[in-house]
Amino acid sequence: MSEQAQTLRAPAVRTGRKKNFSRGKGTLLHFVAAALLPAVILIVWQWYGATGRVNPLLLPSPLAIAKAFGRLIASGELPMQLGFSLGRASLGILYGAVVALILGAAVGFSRKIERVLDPLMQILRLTPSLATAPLIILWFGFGETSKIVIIAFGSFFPLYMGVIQSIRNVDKKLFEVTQVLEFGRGKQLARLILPASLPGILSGLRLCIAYGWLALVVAELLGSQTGIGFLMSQAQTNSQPETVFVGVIVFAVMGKLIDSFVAAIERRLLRWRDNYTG
Amino acid sequence: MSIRQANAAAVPTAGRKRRKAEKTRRKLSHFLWGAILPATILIVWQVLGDRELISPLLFPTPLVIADSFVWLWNSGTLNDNLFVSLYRTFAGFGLGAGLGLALGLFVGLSRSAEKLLDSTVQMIRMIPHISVTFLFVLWFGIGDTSKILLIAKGCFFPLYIYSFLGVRGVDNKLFEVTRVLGYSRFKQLVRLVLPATLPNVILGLRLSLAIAWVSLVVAEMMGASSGLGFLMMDARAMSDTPTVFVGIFLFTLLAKITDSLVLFAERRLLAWRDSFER
Repeated sequence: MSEQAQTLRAPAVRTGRKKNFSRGKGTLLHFVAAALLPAVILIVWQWYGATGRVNPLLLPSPLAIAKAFGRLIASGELPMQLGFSLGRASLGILYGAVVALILGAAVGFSRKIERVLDPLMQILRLTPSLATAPLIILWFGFGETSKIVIIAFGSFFPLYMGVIQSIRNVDKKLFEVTQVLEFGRGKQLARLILPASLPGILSGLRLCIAYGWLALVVAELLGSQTGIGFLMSQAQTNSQPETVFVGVIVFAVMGKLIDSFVAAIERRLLRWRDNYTG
Repeated sequence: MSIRQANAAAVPTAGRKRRKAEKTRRKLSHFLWGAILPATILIVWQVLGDRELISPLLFPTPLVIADSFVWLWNSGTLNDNLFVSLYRTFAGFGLGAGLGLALGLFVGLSRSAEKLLDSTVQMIRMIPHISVTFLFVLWFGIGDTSKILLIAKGCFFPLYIYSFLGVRGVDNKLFEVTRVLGYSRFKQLVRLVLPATLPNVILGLRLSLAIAWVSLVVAEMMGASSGLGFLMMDARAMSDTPTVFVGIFLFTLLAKITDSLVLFAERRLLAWRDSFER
């Protein structure tokens, strides 16, 4: 849900960066100020770890984590497990997104379907999606299916809500214009509804992917034989905290990369909008 | 506001009564339409279960689930675990939300604090907070502390971001007015910044609560010896599916209740806003 906040925050960051481009020195200063705190934390952490005052089993030093990272990359284990995780996540998100698009469009277009279907969906939406994980594991076993279903279920609702809202938010006046111009239903869909609801759908998609990624973490931590989460839970049983840290960092970096990628697609697809807003 | 009150007084009681009846009827019809699908599902589920067409192990019938709920409640297992979970949630929520609000306001009010702190906080926010569950269990044990801190970490970010955005969204002209009126820093905070930030803070609160429940579920499923999530995981291991359903139902109910409480508070606290629709 914090990802929701992030979509709001993103524009502010972007304009801030644009402003700073004109003043290279300001950017550098800003960067130094921003890097100050993380750098101090890292140095103190490393120094404390080196003096042996903290138990390395609880808090391995940054260098030990970096070493573990290098070892996992060199042995090829990290890329392999990351591949498993990515494949699983994309399959789950694909299923969740397709079902959400279809159901969301049906509810968005028809009041009758909304009246029948939407109340049930709103009840399901309130269920913390991860609470259903034990049930899903019971139904589908410990295999691949249950993981994909957990991810699909987790990623379903943001997109479903986004699709409905963006279809319902299309300007009524524009609808009336298409009626006056005697657009057919298909032309209305392709020329008005799709372009007008695209921004909402895309930000729904972004949230959907973020939620799917989160669900992947849980699905793999709960019991799996492959993937980054498996690497982490195995490391935990073997008391290798460096590997747990590596897993956390990989999850964070991949999450950020995927989000930036979707944001870039969003910007590209919505370039025409800038012409309107100026 | 006063105009609306005057209008309401002017309308004859008979007309008001009729309008109220109309409204109730419409609400009832909406409710009935919405209830069709869930009711059908429940009935079909019960009938299929009774005829033993679906496995009672995977899909215990609604009546069996209700029975199991009553049994768990009477035996006291449910109460104990429910209170443990509630305690963890509210302690974690209070801690995380309080800190998030305080830091968000501070960073919002001071530019130098923003430069120093904001990017670090944003960086930490990118870590999917579920993935650090192992580390928290490792550091703080499987008792209450690790759960409370994990929930606090999840609740921190929405409130931080929204109170930060709220402070930055305050009209600068109003700030100038307070300066002209010679408000002290404290009075400025209490009389201008806090009321103006309130809508955003409440939005952050709602997101925080949703995250709190998800974190609780995950934390209790990963490693705990009490609580609702533990009850569910335990039941799953014993193939006691009805209890898993009871757990999901309770989580849904709790999420709904807390969300409604925040909505209610929002309505009371923001009644002064012009744009706010009751």
